[in-house]
Amino acid sequence: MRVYVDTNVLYLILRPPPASDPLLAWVREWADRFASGLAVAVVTPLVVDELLYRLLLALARDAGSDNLLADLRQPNSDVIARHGDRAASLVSSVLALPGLEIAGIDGDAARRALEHVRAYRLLPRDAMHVAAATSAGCDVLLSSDPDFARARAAIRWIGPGVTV
Amino acid sequence: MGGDADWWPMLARRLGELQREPGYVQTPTGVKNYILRVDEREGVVVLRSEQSRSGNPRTITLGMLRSAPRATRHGVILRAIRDLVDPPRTGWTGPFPLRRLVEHCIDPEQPWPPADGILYFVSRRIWDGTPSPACEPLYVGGLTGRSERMTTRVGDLVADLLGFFGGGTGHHSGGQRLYEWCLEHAVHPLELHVGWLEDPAACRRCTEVEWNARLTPAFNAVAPPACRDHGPTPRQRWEMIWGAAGAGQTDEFTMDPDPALERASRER
Repeated sequence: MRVYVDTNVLYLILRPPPASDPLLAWVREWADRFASGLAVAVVTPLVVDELLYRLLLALARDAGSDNLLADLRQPNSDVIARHGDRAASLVSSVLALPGLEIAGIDGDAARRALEHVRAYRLLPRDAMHVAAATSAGCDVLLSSDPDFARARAAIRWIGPGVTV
Repeated sequence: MGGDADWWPMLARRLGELQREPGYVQTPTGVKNYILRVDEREGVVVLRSEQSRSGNPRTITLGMLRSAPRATRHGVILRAIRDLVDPPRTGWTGPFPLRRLVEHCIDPEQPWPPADGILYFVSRRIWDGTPSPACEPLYVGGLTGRSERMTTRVGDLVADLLGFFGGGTGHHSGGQRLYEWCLEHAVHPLELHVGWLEDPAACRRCTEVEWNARLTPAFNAVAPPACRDHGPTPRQRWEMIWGAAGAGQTDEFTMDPDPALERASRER
């Protein structure tokens, strides 16, 4: 099974929520599936971009930054200087995982994403994920974001509580 | 498997066996599909899935099974039963109830743990093809040295599993822990199941690490370390990134996140 993995899944693996959060068991189950070869995880540069950005925010927040946006947008942002290496290293480890594949995004996918915005009322990024997932030949899209359920005519969404 | 003409009779026969024992087909994700009816003449199988896409049990009828090309459209359940007919070679033998191994110990037809095997395995329940967590894994025994001693180690295990230890001596610490568990849970040791893995080409340590991680047996005291020659297994590599960026908070990424994160995301 080829599974398009949304950014939030990889983020939850890198920063697992507390045991009381039902997302923990869900993401753990999928990590085990990828690790055992029962499913192939597919990501695109979109996911890489989002994951890197989210990790920068999380690391900066952990370090005590109280105005992340301002910190990030200042010239020669200190956030990048302080946390860029660590965030890039984490993403690099993810991309090197066995059973994880990086697929590209082409012009056709971009055009299809525009159709998905209209057809499924998806946010632009989400529409791009759906188009990228179908281009990469994925069977399902794995995400904690239930908005993807609206695109069921394009690809099957699996989220917490949705069985395979 | 043979050609298209052969595939359905073989599949029907195997499904008939499975309907008798254990009664179900399991998908790779662990969902059990109980076999209600196998109609060889019509090419139909009726299953009761314990968990459908909606999360509820439902009855599934697979038709057109006489034709392999058409049947492949049935998806994950069909792929699972096809694998049962023509399983990928796994190297696993068994499982056998321990009672059977003991009773047939001088039967030349009874498969026996070979000296050069690389892994032996004890479970509470039966498994099919390859062991999975569903069979209640109890113990995985690895043979990491070069000596060919799996037969002896299984014998050590069986001796202690049947209570033949004491006075500060024994043969197999895993067997002793299993014996204590059998006493506590009133499970006769002869009802447990034993299987083993042969794969002369495989790295013994990597294999042990991989199956320990896959099965998480209840009575292995410690997980084996990564292989010195080959490094971490795929599972260990996934395990290494788990929590690598620290502990997250509930809903940190999605619904109702940290206001700063959410604001930054929206304004991006």
